[in-house]
Amino acid sequence: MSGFSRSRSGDVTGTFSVDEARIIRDLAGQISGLLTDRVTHGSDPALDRLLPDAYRDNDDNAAEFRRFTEDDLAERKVRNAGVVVLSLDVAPKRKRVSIEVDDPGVQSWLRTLTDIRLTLGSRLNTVDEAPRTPQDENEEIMLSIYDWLGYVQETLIRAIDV
Amino acid sequence: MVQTLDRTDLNAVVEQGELVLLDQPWVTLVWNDPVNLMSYVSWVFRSYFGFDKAEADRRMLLVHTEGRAVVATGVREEMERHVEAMHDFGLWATLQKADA
Repeated sequence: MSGFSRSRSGDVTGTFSVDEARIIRDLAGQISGLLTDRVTHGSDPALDRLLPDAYRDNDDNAAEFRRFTEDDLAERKVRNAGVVVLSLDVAPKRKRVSIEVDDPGVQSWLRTLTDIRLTLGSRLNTVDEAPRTPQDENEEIMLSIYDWLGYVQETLIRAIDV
Repeated sequence: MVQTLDRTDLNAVVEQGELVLLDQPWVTLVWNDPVNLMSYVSWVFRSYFGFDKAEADRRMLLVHTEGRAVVATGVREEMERHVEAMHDFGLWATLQKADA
């Protein structure tokens, strides 16, 4: 079974198939690239969701807040994605990738899984919680990855929620 | 007879920035989004704000059913820190004056 669990000694371990590990690594890398190469605010709904306005009804305050915080926030998100990529960079055993994640690693994983799902959700135009019908094969793949990563995140929350 | 207020003391109070009584407090709001898991939102509320499980779940459900919930009240700078932390977790948060 892929996902996270807590061992009897208290360590949080994740187990994935080689393909699953590759998908997460690729997507985390894409989040990193998306944030690193970002240009002006307002040109990509996914980025607007990853780095949202702090003020809803005051553009000046929102812009000023963004000026002071956006770079650091984006940098932290890139760093978290980097932690995820690096933690999956292990040799598979019997076609499974098994990793141990420490406390800071868990924090990075939770945030990066969220950032990936926010981005996929934005690309899929998710507007409500109801399951939606994919429009083409590409959407079908994105949707199944989106749902699967939700499951993976749920297993991680359960593993740390003691 | 009433003693004259000591101006130096008054200045000290003002300089310490403690005269927030006349100002409206600010609130941090978390908004519903279709992506984040309920268990994750509740965990964020517990781990960041220190709510117990019942309180975290109550506010998470408020977000879910009402579309938003107040998760903190205080001075503006503090609310800005909370909002940035929520964005770090991937939650959709904003701040505004409490009466807005």
